[in-house]
Amino acid sequence: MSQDTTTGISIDIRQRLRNPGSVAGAVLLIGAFAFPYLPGTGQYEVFLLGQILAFAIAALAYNVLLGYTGLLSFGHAAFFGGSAYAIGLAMEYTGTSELLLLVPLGVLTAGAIAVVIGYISVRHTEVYYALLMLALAHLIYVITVKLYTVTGGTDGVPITTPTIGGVDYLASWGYAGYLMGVLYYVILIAFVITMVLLWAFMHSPFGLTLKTIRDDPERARAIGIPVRRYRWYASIMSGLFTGLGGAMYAVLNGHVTPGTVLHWSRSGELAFMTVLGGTGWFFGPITGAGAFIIIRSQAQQLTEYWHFMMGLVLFLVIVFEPEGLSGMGARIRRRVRQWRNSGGER
Amino acid sequence: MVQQFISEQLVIILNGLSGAATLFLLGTGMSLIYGMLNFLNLAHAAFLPLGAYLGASLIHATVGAVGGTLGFVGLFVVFFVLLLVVVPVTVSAIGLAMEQTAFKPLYGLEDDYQLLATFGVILMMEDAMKFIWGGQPVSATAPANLLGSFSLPGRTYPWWSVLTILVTVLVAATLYYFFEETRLGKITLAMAEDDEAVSFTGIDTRSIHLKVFVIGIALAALGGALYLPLASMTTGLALEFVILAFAVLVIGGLGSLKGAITASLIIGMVQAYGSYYVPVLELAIVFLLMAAVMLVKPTGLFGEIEA
Repeated sequence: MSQDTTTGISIDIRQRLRNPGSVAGAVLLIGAFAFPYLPGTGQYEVFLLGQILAFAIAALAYNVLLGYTGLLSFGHAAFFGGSAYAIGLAMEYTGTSELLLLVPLGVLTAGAIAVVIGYISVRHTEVYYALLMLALAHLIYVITVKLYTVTGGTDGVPITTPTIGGVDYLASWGYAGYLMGVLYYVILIAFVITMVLLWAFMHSPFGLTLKTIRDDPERARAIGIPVRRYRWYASIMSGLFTGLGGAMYAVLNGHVTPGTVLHWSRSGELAFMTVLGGTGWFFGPITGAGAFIIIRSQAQQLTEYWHFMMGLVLFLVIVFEPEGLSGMGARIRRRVRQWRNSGGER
Repeated sequence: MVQQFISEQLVIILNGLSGAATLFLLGTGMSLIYGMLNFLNLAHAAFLPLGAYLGASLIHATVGAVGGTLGFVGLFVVFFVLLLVVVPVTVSAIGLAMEQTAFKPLYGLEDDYQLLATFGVILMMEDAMKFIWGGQPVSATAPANLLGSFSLPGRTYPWWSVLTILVTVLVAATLYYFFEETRLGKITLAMAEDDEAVSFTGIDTRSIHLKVFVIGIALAALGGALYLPLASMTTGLALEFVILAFAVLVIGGLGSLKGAITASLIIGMVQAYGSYYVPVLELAIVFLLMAAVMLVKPTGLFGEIEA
């Protein structure tokens, strides 16, 4: 079975190489690596793209549940914030400031949280799953706020600039050099790793099983798939990678508070990015995270009421284009192709 | 000593009941709207802060305009009419307008998408309130000050809380009567079971939908109006009320009035005792309770809808 799938993947890859979309993707990726050195790029732009990539990691992970398993989670802030807090608290209490130790710690903490609350939540589906995730994640938020002697309460925890592989780049290169020369690449590499791994997982028998569950849980159960267990695995995988996104967010921002990483409305934002980009497409959430951060940063410059704008966009997307930006893009491409072939394939 | 203990317990119970009152007014509408209309409206909870803000503006305007010239009874009647009638009516008019524009397109969608779209609506409402009333906390203690407080051994307790409890009991009793005894109430319950079958009998189900929707929003606004005189309102609270409304919904069971009453009482009491004896865990207990109920009985204590 795995033999077949391997050929399946390689055929898929070969087809993708002939596809203009994947060529554009490759160009974008090369552009992303060259980004800090492009003319006119400053610290602000690199920081912004870093934010986009950090959220794109989390949104890709979010889509493992929403797009591939058919589960809406309102509790992903627990993974995102759990990882960020693990890093902040480890720095504060153990004095560790080595990124190569802290990131795995954050990811594993998020994974551990996902093991527990995922195990409990997958006993239910649909609204009940969403609400159970919400309750359990909000429990973590409330406890973090209340235990201010340990967690700093609503003030949050500072995350000082970590060393990377024992080298203190901040001391030798200054903040701009650190951000644009190292940190940005750390985030970019984390993003590429996430993209490659999740793509492979979602195109493996594991991913196909999840899709089967999404499309028809009853039939999946009938053909012998342990549905609940696979939903749990999907929750854990989603949690681990959301944690990676949270870790990148934490080191990029240098400070985390319960309100910015653990509150339930952050889970809503991750859901928003995924839906905005398009849940049915693997790369959709990346577009969604990019659009979200760009709309937000533009709106914030125009008005302090940017939540209004975000809410409006989310509402309009769901009412008029539930397939998100990717769906919109696909429709436009299809129209163009039809127009070119004057009545081609579909 | 014993007297001290008794008055302590009395205060905790009263706190629990007045907390339960707010939760009931907040959660019932959301629960009924989900039960009757099959519409999961996250934004419902934002009508409570809307009611509170509107109440604050009206109270400040009244105090500014008439002040003490009306005398105790006159002023109290004005406050009572403002908070119990004007606020709910105005807010439900806003809610009705929103139903026609924002919520109607969502009725056919799956629950998941309703949750997300109404999350968008709540973000908009939160900012609209911030735009109108500013980011600073708003309070209006005039009605509560007017009523004053009564004394217990070793402490005093505001009459306003007692009033809140009484008004809510009245509302709950009226709703109960409505659903159990009146024709319209029975039709509504039947619609929750099978919308289409009811519409075949020639009953205008859409107009009943709207009535349920408006009543639900009026209740949330009333909750806000009664909550305000003893607390202050900030925009961030909208997002906190959402999650408390969910707690009522989930613990009581979606769409059940009995469930909403029971759940509000349980949460109110747990919170009151929790904040007195283990303040650190006050809110955490609510969500633990919510998770525990969902694990044991996912449809909630009185839920009839299958998971």
